[in-house]
Amino acid sequence: MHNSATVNVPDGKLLEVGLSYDDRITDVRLTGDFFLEPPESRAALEAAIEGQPVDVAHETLVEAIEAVDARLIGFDAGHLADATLEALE
Amino acid sequence: MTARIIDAGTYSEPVQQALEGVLTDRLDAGELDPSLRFWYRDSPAVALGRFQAYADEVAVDYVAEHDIDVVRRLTGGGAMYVEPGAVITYSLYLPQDEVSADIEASYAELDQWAIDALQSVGLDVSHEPLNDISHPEGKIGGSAQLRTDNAVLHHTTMSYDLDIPEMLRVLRIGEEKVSDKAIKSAEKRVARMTDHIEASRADVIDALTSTFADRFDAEPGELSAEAVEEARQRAADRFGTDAWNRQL
Repeated sequence: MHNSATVNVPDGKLLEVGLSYDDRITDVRLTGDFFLEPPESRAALEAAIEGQPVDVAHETLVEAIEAVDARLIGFDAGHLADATLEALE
Repeated sequence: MTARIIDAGTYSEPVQQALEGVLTDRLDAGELDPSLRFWYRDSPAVALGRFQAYADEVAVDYVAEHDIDVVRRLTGGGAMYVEPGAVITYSLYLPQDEVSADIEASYAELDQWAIDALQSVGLDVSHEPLNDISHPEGKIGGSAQLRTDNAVLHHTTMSYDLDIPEMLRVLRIGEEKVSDKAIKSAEKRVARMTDHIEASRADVIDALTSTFADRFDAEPGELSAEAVEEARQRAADRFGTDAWNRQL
């Protein structure tokens, strides 16, 4: 299955998460008008979500995202987890 | 270290975006004074945010038919439609230790001199977090930053007299079948300086220049031929290629 979801961060930015899944999440693509330092950390954020089971808990996703060495600007790990779970629905 | 104001040079959008990396790298390496640079373009273009999906933001067929360059920036943020003479774009290249480490605070700090300059020509503008310069009628401009080990790039584009109907043809926010995303963007209406002030674009740039020069003791500067040559090379290798611009 392939799906995507968009989250509008209040007073912030827009995130779109596209992903494929079977029993685990694969091929994550994170796009939007947010900021990220360093910019190269986008791939690490995607990798943090990839491989997670489709019934992953929000809290587990947040922990995996927060473990990435990146500064998220205009959104936070919770928003990215929200978009990921919505794309899995 | 004397701050510099570089107010010269017309370049294509790929070369302009390439210059951002070249000059940020030079500042990072201690080879460039802290600088303000004004941009002059030679054709309409779209400056796409680093993390945006090309096909989500741009009317793909329209930009192809009209030969509008779509160039992915080094910085995040949203897509801007730009036209020569109708927008004002400038960049700041600064040492990291002179900029607030708090990114949200640094946007406000680095926009403040420009807001003061715009107010001096009669525009009722203010900073709106995270990265907008707003007028009561809408968004007049937006900034974006990139940080390297020692440098901060902060660049801003503002609408002087943008052709809004054309912008709505070029960017997908103008499509009738609007997604949630497009509704959000369209709600943030674009405000144009010419709808509110009589000052010419050159007058506005003069106000920006003199405000910056007074506040930071800045002197005129110039781009080295080597920096421009390096930017042309990076434009050919990266910013003018589909591999970079359409990577997402």
